[in-house]
Amino acid sequence: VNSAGRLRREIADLRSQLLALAREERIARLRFRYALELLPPTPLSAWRKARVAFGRWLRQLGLRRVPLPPWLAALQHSGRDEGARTLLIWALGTDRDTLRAACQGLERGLASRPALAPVLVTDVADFAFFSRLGWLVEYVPTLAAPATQYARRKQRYLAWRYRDAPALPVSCGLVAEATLSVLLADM
Amino acid sequence: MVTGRNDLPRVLFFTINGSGTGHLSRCLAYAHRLRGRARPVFFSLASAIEIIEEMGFEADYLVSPFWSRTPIVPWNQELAVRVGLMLEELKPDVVVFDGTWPFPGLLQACDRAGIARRVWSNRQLHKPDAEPVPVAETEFDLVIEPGEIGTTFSVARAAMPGRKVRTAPVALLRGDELAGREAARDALGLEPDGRYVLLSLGPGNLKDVGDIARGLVSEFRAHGFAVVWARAPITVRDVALPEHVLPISVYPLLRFMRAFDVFAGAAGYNTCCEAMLSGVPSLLVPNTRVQDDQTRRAGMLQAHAPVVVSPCETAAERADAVARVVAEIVAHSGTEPPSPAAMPDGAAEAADEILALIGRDAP
Repeated sequence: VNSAGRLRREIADLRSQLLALAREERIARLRFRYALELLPPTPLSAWRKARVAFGRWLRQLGLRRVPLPPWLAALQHSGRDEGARTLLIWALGTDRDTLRAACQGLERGLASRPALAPVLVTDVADFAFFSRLGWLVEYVPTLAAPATQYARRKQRYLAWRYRDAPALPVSCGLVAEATLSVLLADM
Repeated sequence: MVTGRNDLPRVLFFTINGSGTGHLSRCLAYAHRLRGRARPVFFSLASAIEIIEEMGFEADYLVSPFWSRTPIVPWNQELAVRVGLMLEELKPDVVVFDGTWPFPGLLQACDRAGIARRVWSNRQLHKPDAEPVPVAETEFDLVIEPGEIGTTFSVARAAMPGRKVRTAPVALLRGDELAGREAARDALGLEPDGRYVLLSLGPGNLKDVGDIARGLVSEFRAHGFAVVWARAPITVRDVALPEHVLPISVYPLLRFMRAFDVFAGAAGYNTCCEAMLSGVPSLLVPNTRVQDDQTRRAGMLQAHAPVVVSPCETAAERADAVARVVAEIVAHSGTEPPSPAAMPDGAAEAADEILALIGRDAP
């Protein structure tokens, strides 16, 4: 019970940290700047063109939301359910061996839960190992100047991107199977 | 941590994830030739990030559209944002795309971030029924066509944008960077007098290579070879092989190719260039489920190197192919490997073109 209680506090702390991170980045501006414009299949009428331009202007002014396309966490080869719910596993600052052990522990718990699609956020480049897990991996590299803020900005973006997903610190993979099972059942 | 130098021009390589690591290896070849002259950084859709970092370059990763279940339009939307973040922070002097089909998300991110110079490294030799790509070469300042075996450098179109050059074959390493047989065996822990075959049939993510692999293991073993299996860095599940097979995870494997008496692998662009460069007798097994015409490429290589080509789908084909490649070993025993000076370095030619582009005034 103590272990589970401590983990729940860690999870709550992580959640607060992610919410704070997601608020730091000006996501709307970023998404507007890089909004994808695909060529329409047929020429647009003058009326339709005007409506498109008006909608774009409203979005530019922040009066209309930029539509959010779906971003699915499950991989083709993962064996996860079609509508699997994203499960964020936050693993920044963990050494390679600990990370492997934790991922293996989590995978044991997740193997029987195909309704969850894990997303691993990590700064460790151990992709030969990750590839065999079948999880989506979000890598947070540290780049030299002038890109020293890149890692921070990517963390903020990822916190926003997965803001609706339950999040676990990777240390959850190191707890007893029974404890992990209780945690995952809540996800 | 990999560190980059700030006083050098920054080159962002964007590599797609095909059936293997071919696109990534080609960009690594360019980056390797740019050492000391530019700072290469990678945005890779191939998941082998550790091999990029082990070669001393910085890298980020986004899941490939072939692996992701996200539909292609929202995937491109996500790509545009992710690449946009990288472009805003890194401020590269040039973006180099290696792949068949430039993604709209990448092109739009470059537009929005004001990237002045773009390069498209576009390997050819597609199958006759390949779909045309709806992206004009003039969207790029420079188009590099990595040459097939026997190609030498030429300028197909001088005018910019869309300057187009064909290079000599591009291999990850130069000929003089390959270890000799003795040194390579020592590095890999192989017996100096053993008979070894290296099997490298790719990651098997598009095509299950398990039956071919097990069949070839059995054939080569019957001919007295110990079998070494190269584990591909992006494999999602390992091929089950007999216990006597020795698995290795080495990159770049090309450096140690001459440790082996014979090589057996798929006929992707890089593999063919490596078979040519190393001079090791090779059995090439074309993968027919990919976009490029591997059967044709392997056939072209036969004119230049001791190579046997076979689909190896049936036991009879495998027995015949292994017998023929063993005969090639006998025929080429005592032959010196190709001289590095005799092999033009297509990667160096491409790197020079990229640097020359950076040196030009932005359009």
